[in-house]
Amino acid sequence: MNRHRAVTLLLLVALLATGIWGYDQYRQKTDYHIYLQNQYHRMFYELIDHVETIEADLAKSMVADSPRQNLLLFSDVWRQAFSAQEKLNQLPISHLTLSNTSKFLTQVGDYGYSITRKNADGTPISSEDWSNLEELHNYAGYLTVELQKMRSAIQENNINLASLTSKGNYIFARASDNLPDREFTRIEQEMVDYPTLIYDGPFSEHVQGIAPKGLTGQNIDYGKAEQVAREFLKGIDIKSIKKIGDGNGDIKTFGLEVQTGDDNRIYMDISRKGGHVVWALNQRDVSSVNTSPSRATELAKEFLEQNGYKDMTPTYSMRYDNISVINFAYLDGDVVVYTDLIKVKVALDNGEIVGYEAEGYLKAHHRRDLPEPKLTEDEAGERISMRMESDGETRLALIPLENKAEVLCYEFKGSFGGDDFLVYINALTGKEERILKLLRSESGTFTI
Amino acid sequence: MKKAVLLLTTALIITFAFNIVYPLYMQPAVETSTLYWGTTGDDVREVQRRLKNWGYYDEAVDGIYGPKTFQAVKDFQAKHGISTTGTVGPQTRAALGMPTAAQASYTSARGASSRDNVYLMAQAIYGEARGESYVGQVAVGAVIMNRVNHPSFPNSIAGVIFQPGAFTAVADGQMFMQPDESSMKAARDALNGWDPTGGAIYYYNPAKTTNRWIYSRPVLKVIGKHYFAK
Repeated sequence: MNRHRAVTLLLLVALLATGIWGYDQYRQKTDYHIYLQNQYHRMFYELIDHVETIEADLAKSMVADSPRQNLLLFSDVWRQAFSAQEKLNQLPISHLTLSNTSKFLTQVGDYGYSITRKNADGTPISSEDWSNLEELHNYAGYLTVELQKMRSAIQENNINLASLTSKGNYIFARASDNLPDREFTRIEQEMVDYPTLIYDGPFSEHVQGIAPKGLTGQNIDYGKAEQVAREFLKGIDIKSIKKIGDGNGDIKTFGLEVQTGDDNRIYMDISRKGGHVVWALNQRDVSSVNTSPSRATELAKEFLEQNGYKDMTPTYSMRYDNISVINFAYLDGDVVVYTDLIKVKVALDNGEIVGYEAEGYLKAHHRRDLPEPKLTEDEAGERISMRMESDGETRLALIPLENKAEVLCYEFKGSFGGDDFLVYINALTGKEERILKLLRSESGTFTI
Repeated sequence: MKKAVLLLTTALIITFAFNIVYPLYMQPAVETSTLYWGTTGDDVREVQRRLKNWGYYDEAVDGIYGPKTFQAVKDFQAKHGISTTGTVGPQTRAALGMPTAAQASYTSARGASSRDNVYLMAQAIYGEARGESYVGQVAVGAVIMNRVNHPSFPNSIAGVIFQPGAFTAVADGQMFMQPDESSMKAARDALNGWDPTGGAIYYYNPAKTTNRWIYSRPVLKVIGKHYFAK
């Protein structure tokens, strides 16, 4: 009898403990849920604020007449648009549903930035720009109205944005029964029609699909691709070569998987047109270092020469995992062409080439008629900041701008307060086109 | 009593250490003394070099503050509205664009690198594609990079990886595992620009995907179980 009582008591205690534990879990869950809900709602409300401001700024720009006012308005558009895009992409709504709206916000911001740049250069806003801006304004207006409607609906129906993420509601999401998802899908369809924008920014439509310029030669078949691979991997013991997935990107390729004698795998893509190696990766581990980085650079250069790339010059390098990655740029006479880029990975144990990447070169390289510089080196030197200590190294370089246009510049190396910089002065106009900061770390020299 | 002694000793040690360390840190990185007629050295050479560049001085850049340098400095000061003392003090230094004591507050940020992004990306790759071949892992990293550069997606690596619903391994927390060596290597290759996909911004496993829309996207490459699409 006593024992029964003890067991009952024990069970009661256990039940009580479970109850307390369960309640605590429930409370925690509710806390997290509310926290998440607050975050999402903040994102959503801020998104609306940003889009409203974009619409207002673009509207004001229509009647603004001074470069100063334009500068203020478009830099604000730029800032608001990037904030809006950031917030939109944190909402718990599928990125597939947001793709066009997101793109619209990126391009509005990018366009705003390109106009502020034009302003700084003293270039007037063209009539084409104006019609694009009018169009963009109208879409911003549409988006504002739709988001405002969605806001009222969310408030009236007390919709919780955080509920969209839980698995249970996934079924509803698929049935398009949840309001934000349904609304964004509708907005998305409307946003499809907005104009294809060509302007000088990195997200401009023309930058997205540039046809490769460096693919020379006849189309090849797979048999020829295998030959190219064997030639490229000369000196490596090849056991077998297997065809894997073809590439259908900007450069059409054959994909190859090479098995080596020592059971490593090398993957590579070879272009159908001309049979150029686009990239190659050897996955083997490199566990020791017997080769100096400078020797590695020499080996990489020799390798490029053997493969027909004779006029390449090393520009910078990185070292990690006992591997050296060396970037090479094409040398057109005495001009370093930074767009025509090939990267070579050298294993520092035996100096073998373990990686290769020539997409930059194959996309950008073509015969160029480089202009004669209008400024002398000294004239350009006067344009660099007196705060920078120049270290006297100067050369001509062709650099890509954000919109992928190429400009001929003098490249000055210098330092300030212990940091190293590369400053590019346009050799035709004297404009200070770009400043790069060199980042020296244990693993090498980066440019940012 | 013992406690008081201990406290005093500790206080003394701290003060002592502070006195040694403090001056080391607080000293301006660039000593700036006033330059005048008769001064020699690298600073003078720098003044001469700059004045020569701007056409105030046309003698040799010899690092000796002589009459010509004196005159050039005075001309420079007159032109820039600085009192024409013929000596190079902080104001003239600043006008010349040379480092002054005030500028010593600029410190270069050493050791910053893209390592954190490597780790974050390696986590995403490990979570999403640890069963795939090496090239399949690089490809997943490349998709992340391609999204960063695409207008329809967030503009940072973290933004792309943590976009709600974008990657299953992020949604179910699998990515918060310690990535292996292969994923780290793949992340570095992807960050350095290796793109086995040819520009893909989506990938899916046809055996697991129920999303119809994704099938309408042009497939650029098939690597292992993953279809890479644009």
